[in-house]
Amino acid sequence: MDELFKGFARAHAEQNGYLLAATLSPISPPENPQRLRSILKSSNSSRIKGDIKHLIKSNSSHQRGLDHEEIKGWVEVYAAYWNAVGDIVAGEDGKSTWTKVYESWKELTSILIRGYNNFGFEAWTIPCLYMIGKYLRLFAIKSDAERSRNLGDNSGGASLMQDDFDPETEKQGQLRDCEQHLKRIFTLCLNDRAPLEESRKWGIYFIINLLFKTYFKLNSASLSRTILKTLSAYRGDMPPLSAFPKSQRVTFKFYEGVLFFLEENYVEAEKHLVEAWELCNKDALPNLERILTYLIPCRLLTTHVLPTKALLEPFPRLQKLFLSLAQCIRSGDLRAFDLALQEGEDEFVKRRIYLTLERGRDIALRNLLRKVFIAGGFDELKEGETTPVRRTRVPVAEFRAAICMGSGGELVDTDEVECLIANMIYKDLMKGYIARERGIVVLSKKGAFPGTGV
Amino acid sequence: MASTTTEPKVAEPEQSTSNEQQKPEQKHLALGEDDEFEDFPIDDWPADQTEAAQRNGETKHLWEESWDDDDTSDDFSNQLKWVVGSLLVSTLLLTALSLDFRPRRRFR
Repeated sequence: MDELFKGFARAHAEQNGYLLAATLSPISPPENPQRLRSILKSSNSSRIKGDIKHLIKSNSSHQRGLDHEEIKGWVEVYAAYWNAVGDIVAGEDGKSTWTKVYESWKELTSILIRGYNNFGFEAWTIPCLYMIGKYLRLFAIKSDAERSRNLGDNSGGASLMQDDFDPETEKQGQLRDCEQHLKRIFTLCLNDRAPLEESRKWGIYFIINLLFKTYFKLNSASLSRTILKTLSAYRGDMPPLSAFPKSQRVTFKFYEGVLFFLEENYVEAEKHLVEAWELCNKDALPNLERILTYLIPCRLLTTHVLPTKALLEPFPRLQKLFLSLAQCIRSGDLRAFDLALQEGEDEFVKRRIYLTLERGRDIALRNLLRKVFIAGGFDELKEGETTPVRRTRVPVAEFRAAICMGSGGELVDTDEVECLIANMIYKDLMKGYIARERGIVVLSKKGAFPGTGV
Repeated sequence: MASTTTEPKVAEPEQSTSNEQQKPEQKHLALGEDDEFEDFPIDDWPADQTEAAQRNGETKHLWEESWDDDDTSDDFSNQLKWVVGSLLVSTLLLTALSLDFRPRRRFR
């Protein structure tokens, strides 16, 4: 405990928020695995507040700055922390539950927020909010998992008794509750009217990222929009995103990108994901992998490009996800594409990219039809022409043959082929028109397949 | 966050069934973060530690066009001709088979 308040005093002397936040960690650091236990042992519930007050004063006596009110606030905070530590340590011994840990951590959260509202905690201490918010969410998830496990153990009776019991909502009850508290922190940071240098506004992106993670976990990603709307209403007096640490910027850009991705706004999604990719720490492979998981399908639809082996090299999981699919798209093998999509279906759906990848079939088809066009060769040079012109009148029968081949020998009838071609033209993947009565497709002399060099 | 994230060592009996495919992810599962963006171990890093700097701003070799022109198009065009021919034959056959040879009733 003494150690803790030495840290507290040092953090205040240096005005180092991260150092201060570390004193509120619910996890013992590797170099001191007994930290939580020794904190717990060094006091008891009847004298804890007095102990804390004494330690704060004795350790910080030689410093000015901490006024009476602030000390009062911090005493409350550390008393609540001590309580929570009690539940965590009991949990390690199997004598407590995650639900209890969550409840006591929630109490700590409320008291910390009160410290900012009522006891004048300074803005440099906001990393404490990060620490508290981060673990509040993790404990909520733990508690939910624990509760649904217990529910599973004695199911039957309980669910029969409650008719209007919605297991899906209930399953994440704690996380929903947690969202409310994170939002309080969000408001606390957003509404600070202090001048920018000493404003809690600097905490906003960290908290937003926590909220994004929460909404995605709750399967209500769209609620993130509400947060973004609120944020943009305040944009004028908010520090620019570029002034924040890269870890926060990358995370924010990732979620913003994925949000656009889920809204099927691939152009915007690409912008944000590329930004996240470029800023990301080069050694953070798991995060780079997550960015690419969305950036690859995104690019497939916006610019119709595929990842190279060089890009996928450090990511075996992405290779498994995308390599065979990419190969099918490139070669225009429709049947193999369908199979590859089917094979990865579970994984694709889980990552919410199935529907986007499905649209990659158009690109596979485009490539197949393009091959027919290339195979058609060139028209004979007419008088006055110097550069050869590709044969632009292609019988529907040839396209049909190619599509039958691409579909693994399945017979596709002419009407369906015409329909597919019409769709290609409509989607601007192919330029030209179908002359039905003559059974040919007349392709544009300039860029029959836009963007592909022919 | 400046501190390293180590998971609390509290009993974690879940996830024993699907252990096989999730081995590399076990650490995140223990933290309750299965598939979400991870916290970076450091808060900020200099520009030369970013992915963009790593690639020297040169990203062209990472993406390639989605079609394949290396494929010998001669093979494809021969195959195509053959299939066009056989489709023509089969279509003719099908049409012939489905022709209705019964005399039609005529109205006067």
